[in-house]
Amino acid sequence: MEWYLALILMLGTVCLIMFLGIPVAFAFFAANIVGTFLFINGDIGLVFMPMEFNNAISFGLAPIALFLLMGEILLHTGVAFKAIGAIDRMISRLPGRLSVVSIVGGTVFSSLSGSTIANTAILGSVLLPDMIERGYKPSIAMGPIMAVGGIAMLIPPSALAVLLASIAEQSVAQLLIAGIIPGILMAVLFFAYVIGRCMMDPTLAPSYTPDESYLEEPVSISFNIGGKTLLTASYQGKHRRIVNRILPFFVYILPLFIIFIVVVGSIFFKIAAPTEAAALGCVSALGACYFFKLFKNIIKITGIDGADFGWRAIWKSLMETTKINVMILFIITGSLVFSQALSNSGATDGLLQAVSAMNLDKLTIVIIMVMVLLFLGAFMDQVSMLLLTLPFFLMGSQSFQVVFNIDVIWLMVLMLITMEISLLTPPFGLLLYVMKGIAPFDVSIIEVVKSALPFIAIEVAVLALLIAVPEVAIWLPKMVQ
Amino acid sequence: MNTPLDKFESGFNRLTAGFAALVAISIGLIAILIPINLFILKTQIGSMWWLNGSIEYALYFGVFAGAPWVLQQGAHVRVDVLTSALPENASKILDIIINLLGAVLCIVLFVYGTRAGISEYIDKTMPDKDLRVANWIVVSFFAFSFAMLTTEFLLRMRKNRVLRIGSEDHASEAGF
Repeated sequence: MEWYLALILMLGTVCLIMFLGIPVAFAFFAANIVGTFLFINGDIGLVFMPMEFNNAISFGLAPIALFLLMGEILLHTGVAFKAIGAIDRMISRLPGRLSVVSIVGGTVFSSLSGSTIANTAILGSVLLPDMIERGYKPSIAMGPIMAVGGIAMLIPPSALAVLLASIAEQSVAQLLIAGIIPGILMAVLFFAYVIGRCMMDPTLAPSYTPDESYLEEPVSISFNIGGKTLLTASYQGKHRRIVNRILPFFVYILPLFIIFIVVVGSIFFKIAAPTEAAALGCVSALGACYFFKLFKNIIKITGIDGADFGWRAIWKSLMETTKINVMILFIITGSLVFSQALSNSGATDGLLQAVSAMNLDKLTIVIIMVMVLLFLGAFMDQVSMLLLTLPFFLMGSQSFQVVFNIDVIWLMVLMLITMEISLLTPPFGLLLYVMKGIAPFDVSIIEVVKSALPFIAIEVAVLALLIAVPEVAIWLPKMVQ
Repeated sequence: MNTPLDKFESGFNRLTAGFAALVAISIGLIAILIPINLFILKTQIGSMWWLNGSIEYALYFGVFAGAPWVLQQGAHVRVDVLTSALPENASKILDIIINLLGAVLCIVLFVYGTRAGISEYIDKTMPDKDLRVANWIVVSFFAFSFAMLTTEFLLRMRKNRVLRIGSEDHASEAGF
């Protein structure tokens, strides 16, 4: 069979079944049956196929479950919400304060949850009503909430980055570290845009005086064990306002930074491999949650609520992790065998030879890859588009990355940003519809798109910068190397 | 409404939920054992040589044990461009077709999984790993999982459950 017919048959099977609405993993399994039967020894090939699914699941995929668990623990114990509250208290004087809170809080939240869609739904429900009530215009209220996912996909521990590097059999550590500078750059640009825009047009986000009466209260601390107060102290000095303002930072934010340092630091200093770092992250997250719990009953400080959770919350975290992890690994299992069938059919090799014959340069190839991802992202989730394109882009000796000698870490960072942009691009960008669905007021999809546009422009600018200056992404990982 | 099929469905749901709970426990154990192993390695006390192999098996069995429960929860990612664009009646018919196709697909994989299991059992093949579980057990679990998935698709078809991805659906939360 000609390579292009094989390609149409294989991709066509996946796409057709996928668009019918059958779960993505099953679409891959269907293509595997067709591909294995036609291109790998027919009936006999199908008998051997189940063993290939076993070979597809390796130890390298373990960090996905562990990073997911880390985020789920922080979400279900309520600790992530406390962090957002603490950020809110720290930046009460900033123009467009709630939009800034949504950027910082959203970054923390979606980095931990690993899901930008869940992040948009939750932050949209929690912060958006408050913003609208305070007179924020939808254009400045909705955009940041939808856009923060772009930062979360880059700043470690990003579950999607781990997934991408694991499947492509590349260094998870290098990719996580490579995302730091572009992630910070994107965050800075988001802040600059929101603050600058709100300063130029204060009607977008009317300033208001938040209730800061708590700042005047004396700072009191007490240690209680078994209902008895063992020690109590109070501070009423002139610095009590600043103490009251920054205390939540030390209690709620600092422990989360410690998790970040444990995960990234252990990889950075080569103390642990990514799987071990992810497991250490889970233990640290649990430790942080129990630290917060101390502030519920044992250590009482004015203005600090502490976290209240039990084993039920931990169990829920484990069950939610199971749900997402099984979903992801099930797709991966199907797609890895799919890429093998694709390779055996000669489709991958044929496509590569056809592209090579066009004498395109490296930059054009990268731009084509970015365009393909943007197109797919208009109607497909990130895991699906990743697994559909990886056999051509990144995996094996016949991929574009190998043949065109493209820096693999750089390419993966570009893919992460592109996938996030694609979730925001009209007409089908998933986040746009999630936002329209949860907005507490009647809003047209056009308004939602308009609010997202400046942030899409910023993400595209960062993407363009990374394409033009690859060192922005690869400098830090090279340092570590 | 307590027909034998209802009782079967209720028992089947308990079975899939039980498997999901086992997978959850295995993930919890992985999260605890890896740092312990790292500690005893760094302090040169010893090592859990079996840990990496066990994790691979836990992931494999976990995926196939958990998949029917995930399907039951509507948490397998889907592209819903077509289903959401259709009118309600057409969408319901499409759902029946989806479930039927899913069931047929899973039956095919169940059949080939069973044939592979028998073949591996006859050949008594073992994997080339430190921790070894006979291949026929590994492949048989694959077949068992697809038997459960077939059942779940058929049960869904019976109830004509709607598998939509909405903003509050688990499937959306499951995406990145």
